Amino acid sequence: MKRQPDKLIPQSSLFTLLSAFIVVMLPHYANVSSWLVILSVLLLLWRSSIVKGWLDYPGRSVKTLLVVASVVGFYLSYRHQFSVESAVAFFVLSVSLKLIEVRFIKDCYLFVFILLYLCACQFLFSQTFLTAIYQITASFVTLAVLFSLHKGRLDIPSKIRALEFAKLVFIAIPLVIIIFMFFPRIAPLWSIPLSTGKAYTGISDSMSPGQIAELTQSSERAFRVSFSGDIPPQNQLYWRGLELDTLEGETWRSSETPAQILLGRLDEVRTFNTDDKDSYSVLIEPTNNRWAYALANSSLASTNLMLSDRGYIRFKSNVIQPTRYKLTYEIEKLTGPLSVVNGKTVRVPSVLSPVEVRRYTQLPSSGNPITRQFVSKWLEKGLTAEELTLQMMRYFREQPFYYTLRPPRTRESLFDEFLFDTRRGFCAHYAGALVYMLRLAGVPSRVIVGYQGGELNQQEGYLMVHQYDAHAWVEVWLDGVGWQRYDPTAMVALDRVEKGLREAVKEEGSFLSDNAFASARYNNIAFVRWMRLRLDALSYNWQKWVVGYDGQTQYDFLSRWLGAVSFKSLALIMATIGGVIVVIAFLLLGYSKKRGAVDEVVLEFERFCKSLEKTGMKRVIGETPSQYTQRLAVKFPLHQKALEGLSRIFNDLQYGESRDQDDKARLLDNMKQQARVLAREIKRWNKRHDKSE
Amino acid sequence: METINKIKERLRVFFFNWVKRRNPPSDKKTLTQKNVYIFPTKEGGLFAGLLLLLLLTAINYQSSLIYLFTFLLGAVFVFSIIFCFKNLSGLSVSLVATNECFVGEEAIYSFAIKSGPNQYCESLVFAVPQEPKKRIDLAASEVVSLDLSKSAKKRGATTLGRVRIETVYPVGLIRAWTWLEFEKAALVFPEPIKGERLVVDGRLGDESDEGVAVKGEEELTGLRDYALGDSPNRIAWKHYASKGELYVKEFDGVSSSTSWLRYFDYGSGNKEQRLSYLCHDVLNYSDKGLRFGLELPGVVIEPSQGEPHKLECLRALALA
Repeated sequence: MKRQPDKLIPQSSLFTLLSAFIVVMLPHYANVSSWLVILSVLLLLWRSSIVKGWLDYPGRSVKTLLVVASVVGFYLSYRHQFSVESAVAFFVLSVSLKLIEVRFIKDCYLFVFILLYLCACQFLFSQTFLTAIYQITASFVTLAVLFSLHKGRLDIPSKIRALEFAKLVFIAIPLVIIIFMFFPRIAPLWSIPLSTGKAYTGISDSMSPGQIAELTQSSERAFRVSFSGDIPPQNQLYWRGLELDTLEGETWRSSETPAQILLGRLDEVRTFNTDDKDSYSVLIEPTNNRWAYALANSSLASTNLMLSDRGYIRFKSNVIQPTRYKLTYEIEKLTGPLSVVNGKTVRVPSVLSPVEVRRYTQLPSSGNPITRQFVSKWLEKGLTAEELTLQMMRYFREQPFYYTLRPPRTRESLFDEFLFDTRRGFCAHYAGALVYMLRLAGVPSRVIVGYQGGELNQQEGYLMVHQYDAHAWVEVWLDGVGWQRYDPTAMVALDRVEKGLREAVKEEGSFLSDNAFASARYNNIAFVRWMRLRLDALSYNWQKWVVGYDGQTQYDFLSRWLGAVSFKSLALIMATIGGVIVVIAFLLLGYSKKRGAVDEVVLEFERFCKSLEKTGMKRVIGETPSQYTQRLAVKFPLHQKALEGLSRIFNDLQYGESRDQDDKARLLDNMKQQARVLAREIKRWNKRHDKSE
Repeated sequence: METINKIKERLRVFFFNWVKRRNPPSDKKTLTQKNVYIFPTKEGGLFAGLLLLLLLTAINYQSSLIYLFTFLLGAVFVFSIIFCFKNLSGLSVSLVATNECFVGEEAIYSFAIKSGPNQYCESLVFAVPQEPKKRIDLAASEVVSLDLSKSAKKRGATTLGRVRIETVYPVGLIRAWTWLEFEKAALVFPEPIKGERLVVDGRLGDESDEGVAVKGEEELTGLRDYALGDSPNRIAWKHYASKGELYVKEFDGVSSSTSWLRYFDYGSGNKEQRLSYLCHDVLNYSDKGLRFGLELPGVVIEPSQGEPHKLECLRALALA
């Protein structure tokens, strides 16, 4: 076959092509270097000028120069970074360069495919409802490029054209939903070295003065919690994240290492049942680390979690997507968190090992002389650990301490100045000071960081925990009891624990003061409040059912409907449903419109031919029915008339002018009868003939 | 290498015989699921690669939305199969007429193509091997006529051969096509080539182009009614001028006496060459309005003249 010359892209498709480029590129421009944006926009302008006829396509040397220059530029700006951003930037660069080269229809495909991939890449940066709508629209515009390339030259109004295209896309949606629900979610095939270089807000594994205060200026969401039973009272909502057990200078650090997280074992996972009164599910925003926040005494109820050897709940991998996890808790037993010993989950024994005692009483050897003296005075009274703790808590309550997000800066000794001079601080100060004093007294204790409280979304009945709910409190080891929670902040600002940060700093006016646009600031305006809760509920359901629809959710969801599901049965269900849908679609689209009569005629004739094969008169390939019957008539002249009649009926049925259905059916019956009688007769004749020979 | 090519060719023949068995030649074809084939195009294959890449991205980043996006594109791919098939199915293609031509000219096959009710058939490409492709679009229930041509290389009844009707509508990822063969043949006459006649009859023996035009020695024997195709040289123009009726002069004498063009009159040449020579002479004699007969092995056409006679002779030559 002759090679067809390459066809130029029709002018009408070029417009769609350029629109698709713009729509897909816009959100990506936010994530790439500014020189890349400028280059991309210039190339777009160039391409538009070519369309207009103002400029010509670049020559080979210009193209080479462009490629070399931009590759060098790319290397210089991204060489230190091997992340999602650099990969996306690479795609942005290549598709922009390709833009001035797209000339022929055959070039369009690769161009369109890269654009489609870029549409999907945007989901690595943002997964909101709006992003999804935008990206799916962008992909439709991109697909429309292909559609416009292949549409006919008929003069069909563009409205009908658009409808035709929409039909192609929207008919697919039910299938998409079903595949989405049933497609088995596979664990990552290889570890992903690429991570977005995005900065995550949230608690870090160290606490120095001022850090939590920074966090309290953020109205970003940390996680959301739905309880299957009643929501526990606000002052019980301590979401434990991690312990800070080491004090270095003025900074509290966690000595928990990733290795220790790995040491933990998979706890026995309780099957999650939404009817359980004591279960709750958390949808956490990406943190890029493995900490999960949970109420004390929680057990795991979903498989994406594990228990670290210190009894904290950890994800199996870093949270880079909004992720859902489930837990159950026992509110009555407030003591003795879980831990893993010899592979079994047990309550922590009421004795600390020497290593642990050392860890939880560690302190810098010097500093804060006034505090040291103060504590040693108390020690002389011979109080137990519990009494001592209560003493110290009382001290916070009785002395003129203030809860403030704007504490004065300390100059030398943090604890001395805070406890005896300024007496102004927020949770980090109080918790830190309490543990410092307890450790001076030799009582094992630790700072716990996490979140406290949460805002109730009445419309949907779930809790929203924001970054400004970040909190630090204290756990003290009491012999025979175990770890016991104490919150010194509550001694100073009861509102912080009972009603949340907003109420606690009401007078100070520091709530989200750096953040004038946070809608949470305007919560007193009823409409703003209503809107905020509505939008949050929408985004919660979106995240819960679409974004957070992972293997675990799928398992829970499907097992509620189908009982236990295995990977294999999932695949089976997928295949069946997919098959059924495609078949239904075929039927709906008129696949079977004109089956029947025509085919039956051919079938009947073929049967006739087959039955005569033994007579040695096989129908030759390509022989028409008329030719065949004529040939038969030569060999079996006795049946010439009948054979002619048969071929006449056949041709009439097959190629004759249209008859109505009844007529056709009658004729077909007629033909069947004739064909069968004729075949029998001929065979009989043939046998006799053979014998006589 | 050669054996591979041989095997390939064998497979091709085997395959197309199978196609032909499923869909024997006839002059009217309606496209149904029986004779329409569907397969992704090269670009469709690339698109499948894109889907795989997207799926891998979704799996490795555990991103539900990328899963969703992958499935959406995948479903569009699947449904474009149906749309592509629908674009061809229900189309009926009838070969309504063929022409007659000489070897080296184009044989033309005229088709009437009708789309099914309620359905556009767009961007249909008709391809005859070694011929340029033709593209048509049909609105619902529309009949469009289409001429496919095939350069005539061999004398005789020539069928069009395998026509491939294909479409990649709507998005170019899937191709639906069919191979159709039609019964009606175009008649291809031999290529006229001037040959050397050894055997001469009458004064035309040493025939040359001028040799025939020895009009002066002919005797007018009478007039007969004009028949279509008679040479204008022989019209009785004088009579026409006076009476307004068209008559053709009939001559007597040697030149008007019957000439015979015979297969074995030529000194050299194989069958095809001889037929070409005869073809040339038939055209030549006919142009000059001479009366002649044609004798081929097994075929004898009695002497006559005029356009119908010429065609009869040419057809005999084509089919000899």
